[in-house]
Amino acid sequence: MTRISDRRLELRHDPLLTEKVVYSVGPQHPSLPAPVRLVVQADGELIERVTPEIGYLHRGVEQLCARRSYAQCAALLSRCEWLAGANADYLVSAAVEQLAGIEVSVRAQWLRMLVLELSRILSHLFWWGQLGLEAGQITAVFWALREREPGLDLLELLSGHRWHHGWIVPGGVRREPPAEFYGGLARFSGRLREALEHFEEFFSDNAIWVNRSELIGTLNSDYAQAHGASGPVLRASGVDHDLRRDAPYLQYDRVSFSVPVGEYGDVLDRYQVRMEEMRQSLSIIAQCVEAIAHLAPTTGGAGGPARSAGEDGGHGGSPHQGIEVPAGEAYIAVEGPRGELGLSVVSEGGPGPARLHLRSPSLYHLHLLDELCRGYLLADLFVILGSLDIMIGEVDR
Amino acid sequence: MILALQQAFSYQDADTIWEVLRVWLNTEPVPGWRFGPFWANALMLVTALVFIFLLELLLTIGIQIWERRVLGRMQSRRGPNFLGNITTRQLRGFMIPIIVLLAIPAVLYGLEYWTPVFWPGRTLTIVTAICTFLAFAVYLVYMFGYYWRQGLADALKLFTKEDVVPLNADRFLFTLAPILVYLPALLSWIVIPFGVAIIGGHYCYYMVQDLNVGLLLIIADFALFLVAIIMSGYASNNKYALVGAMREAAMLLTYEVPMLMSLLCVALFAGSLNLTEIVERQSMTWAALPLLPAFVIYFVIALAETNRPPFDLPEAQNELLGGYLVEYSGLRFALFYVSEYSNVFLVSAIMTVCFLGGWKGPMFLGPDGLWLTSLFWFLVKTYGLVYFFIWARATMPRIRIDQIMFFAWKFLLPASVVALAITALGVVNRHPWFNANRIWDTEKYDYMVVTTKEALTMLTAAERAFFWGYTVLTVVFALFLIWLAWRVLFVRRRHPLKRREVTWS
Amino acid sequence: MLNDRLQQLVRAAGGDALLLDARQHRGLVTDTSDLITMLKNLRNDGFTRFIDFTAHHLGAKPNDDNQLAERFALFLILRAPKHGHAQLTLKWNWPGAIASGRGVPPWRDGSQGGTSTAPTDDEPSAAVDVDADLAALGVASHAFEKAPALEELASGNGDATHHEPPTSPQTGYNKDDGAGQPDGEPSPAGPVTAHPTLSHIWPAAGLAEREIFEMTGIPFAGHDNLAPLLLDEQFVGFPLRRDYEPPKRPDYAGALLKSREEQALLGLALAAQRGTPMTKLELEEQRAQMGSPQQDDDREHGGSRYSNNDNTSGGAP
Repeated sequence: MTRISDRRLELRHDPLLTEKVVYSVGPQHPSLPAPVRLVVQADGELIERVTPEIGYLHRGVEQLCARRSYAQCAALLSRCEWLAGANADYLVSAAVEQLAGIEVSVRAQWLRMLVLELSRILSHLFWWGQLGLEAGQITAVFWALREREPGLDLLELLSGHRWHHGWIVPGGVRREPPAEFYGGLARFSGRLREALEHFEEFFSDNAIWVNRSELIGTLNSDYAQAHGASGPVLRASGVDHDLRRDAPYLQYDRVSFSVPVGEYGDVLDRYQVRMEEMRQSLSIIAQCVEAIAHLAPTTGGAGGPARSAGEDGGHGGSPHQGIEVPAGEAYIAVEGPRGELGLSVVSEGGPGPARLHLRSPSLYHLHLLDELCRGYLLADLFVILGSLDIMIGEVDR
Repeated sequence: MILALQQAFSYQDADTIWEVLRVWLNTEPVPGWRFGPFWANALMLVTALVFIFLLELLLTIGIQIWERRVLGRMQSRRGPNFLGNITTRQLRGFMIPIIVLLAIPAVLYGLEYWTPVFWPGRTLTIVTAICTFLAFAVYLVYMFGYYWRQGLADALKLFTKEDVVPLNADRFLFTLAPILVYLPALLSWIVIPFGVAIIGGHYCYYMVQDLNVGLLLIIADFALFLVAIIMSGYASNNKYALVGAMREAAMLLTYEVPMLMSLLCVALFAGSLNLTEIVERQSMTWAALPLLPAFVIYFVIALAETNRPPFDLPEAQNELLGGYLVEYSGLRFALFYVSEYSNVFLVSAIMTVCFLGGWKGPMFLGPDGLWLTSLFWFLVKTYGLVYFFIWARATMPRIRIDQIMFFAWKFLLPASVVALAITALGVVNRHPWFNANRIWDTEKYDYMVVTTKEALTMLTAAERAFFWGYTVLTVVFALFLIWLAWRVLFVRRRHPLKRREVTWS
Repeated sequence: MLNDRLQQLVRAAGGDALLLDARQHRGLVTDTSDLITMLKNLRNDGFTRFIDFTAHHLGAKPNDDNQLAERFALFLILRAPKHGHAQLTLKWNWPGAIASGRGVPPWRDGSQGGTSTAPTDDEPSAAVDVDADLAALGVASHAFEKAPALEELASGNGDATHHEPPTSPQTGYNKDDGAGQPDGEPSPAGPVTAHPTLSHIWPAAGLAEREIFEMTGIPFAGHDNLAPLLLDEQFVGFPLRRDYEPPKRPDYAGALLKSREEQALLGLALAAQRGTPMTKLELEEQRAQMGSPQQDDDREHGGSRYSNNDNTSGGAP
């Protein structure tokens, strides 16, 4: 395959044949979200190759999961996807349900959808701040975290935890949301809608930002598909693919939303796709709340729908600690904030998986960096990195 | 003492405080001390340097507080506005007496200016002096009341840190660079006129040396700054530092040319490179009005000159880890740090002096030359300009190096050339708008200073038409520049995204 | 749910061997002799998007040659964008990998001639000649080079790690006769079987294969860079195999406790002998005369609650 980036480098080739310089970016660098090392070979500031070196955050999660119960796996995996831990909870729960043949009530599915979309918004807000930081504008971080805070409070209200809320459990959700949750959600949504407008004025209309991002880090759609891109990165390259719409899980086929698609696959397209996704998620959340209001709780009280599935789902302990999952294999995929987050589970019976593998979108996105950065300047590397929204926790696992 | 100072004035036509003291020390030595002219001069030089050093420290600390407060407010976080010794509520408590104290002389002057009331003798001068002194004292109490702990902690940390010199660094240049960075930042303060005092009926400026080439000295100091930055980047033996220094070199060399052009407009306008002269030429109008294009251009360049966002790419914290600062620690870093803020004050002071009328307050407040009001107005204007620096930092992302080059060569340079051409034509044609309202009086063979309104009555019909034509031309050009800068810097949006609507069920 | 057309396509690509479970989107590949052709057909038929590739170690069992043979299950997850984004999971079994659970990683410096003894004495048979194994597979040894080093890049030799793929297309993935081996002797720890790489079909598979290799030891013939992805270059072993045991750590805490205990007992005994308590200095002198217990190897002080020797604690809860 002819690489467009090679042609780009040829066009900007330096006839003086000056000496190359190699920058070692990381593993500790203020622009990097977590430890990862980028070996950047450049001609002055013109990047010729970027080689990511990963593994600094490798904790052997897959090896650990092979010896633990599903509940413990969910906790470990949500530490890999720490900005949207609900996705990991959902993946493990859905895998257990598929293997054990557990039916989940419709209401619980709507509740799960609500929390997944809320997690997506919170993750994207964090990304917006991070991208601002990469572009040299630290104000964005404070604004993004300011808007994110009420969302985290909502999740705390729901589950008692702000980040790693094991609220989605096999069989449903851990407990019914408290009554004040919906009021807080409405306030959060209204406030965020205004804030997104404000963000647009602050960043998207700013000519410096548009100049910094337009036609920078362009990703060809063929290259993106061949190299495993997914999620917003893939959609920004012009590929119209969204698991929520194309392979609907939960109740995603019951809601209406639009899938934003970019044209050039540059930083600006990735930026706009994510900004639009936040608005669409707000719309999905509103539809979820409406649907939940029309569905009666399957079981009332604090126990919630999860109790019906677990064998010893008492008040103490983990409700799905004692599930005996029959042998089998399953692959569950979810459209996470960063792309397709998948979980391959091999069960040989018993309370835990024999083998568990997390399909990480960021792993593939990080290795796109070489193609994306060739022929651009050193300052563009960080903006491109920010637009990819790499989560090192799921890259290294 | 006052008598001695008055006597000193009679010896020589001295016009700065430092000069007055030097002359006095030369002519009326302290009894029992044998001060020759050499030792008197040496003593005064040391005194002046210490004075400038302390003043720089004081005003730099003021800028830091100002920046932290404004940034905290703009970034909607708990900063010094809510934490620390003086919170916003307490700040109001400080601001109210300051405002009241400054309002008292204003009201008195206003009464004398607009009504038949006449205050006898030196009442106004004395009241103004007392009120301004008190307001300044309250400001100092506020500043140090908030800052002394944080500032002390910062200074202690920097002073006690280990002084690290990287292996294989060029040790001599590495040591020399922070000193060379700090020296021009300090030296430029010698020629900045902070205000004016009247001693024995003479105008006596608050400055160390009233150089005839003050503007030139400042420009030369900035060039020295560039050399020191390149030196630090080279000597650090670090790729990031080298890249930062190279960016700085490219950026500053690019921006020197339009900066000189815009300051040349001021020099043409005032007919002098002497900074006090430039201020005195703005008695009738601020130079920012006729020279609005030059002012806009110089403001943008001032951002770049001091490495402030959005032009902070030589020390881009999240790309180059501080650029040329990356290997510096402890006291050496402190020198860089202080000189950076000192430069911010310096360029703001230059803008105040060259474009905003220096120490001169609003005209209805009566004559300038009051002891402390002049200092007050100078600081108000300078700190007001610093606010725009902070605003830019809170608002704009960083520009890339090639975009900066593009902006400077293809936008700022032609614009500054056009601005210079317009100014030069106006000055050569003795246009009152461009001549600080000085009208050539053929009977006296000298300029006479009049207001624009009076000047217009003295012109012939053809000259008046010329005047309005030029004025309209300048205003249109300034508006065009502002629109263009707005378009280049702020407003731009690409086509919206395609959205594929899907509705199920 | 795969639609009928897609089911036909898959059957056409995989032949009768591909038993399709359309409801679960899963297929079981029973005959891997022509795997690459089948996967290429699948790719051409519309499964253009690679999702994931992973391996599961099923364990080892004795085969006909009375040797332990590794068994792996490989899962390949694909998606067909043009057919409603249908998802397909293919599973096939794969025998063999680089045989040692504690072997020396092949990307290590070959200063020991490629042969190394295992670091612990309790696994005497773990020595493996990796280069010989790889030669048997026809895998060029430069395929295992490290990630690009700074010196290489800085020296201007920018393409130091961009090697051409092996000149002879390697398809002998079921080869266990050792044709390319220099001396013709079989590798000591059973047959090593290289899997053909999928990275020529789906470029994204290269990353997954690097991870599979470093985690389970299945080499991929034709892969241009099998350097470790996540693990340290000095890491020994394949951690996602069932026979993997993490290296024992020195039991510093146990050793300390034991030496303190001995010291206390010694002091008590001497004090009882002498009738008065001993000072610390005297105690030190006594210990120096009798030989310090801290000189012993730390590994011998197992058995405390800090040690890793207890194998029963490692199983599933």
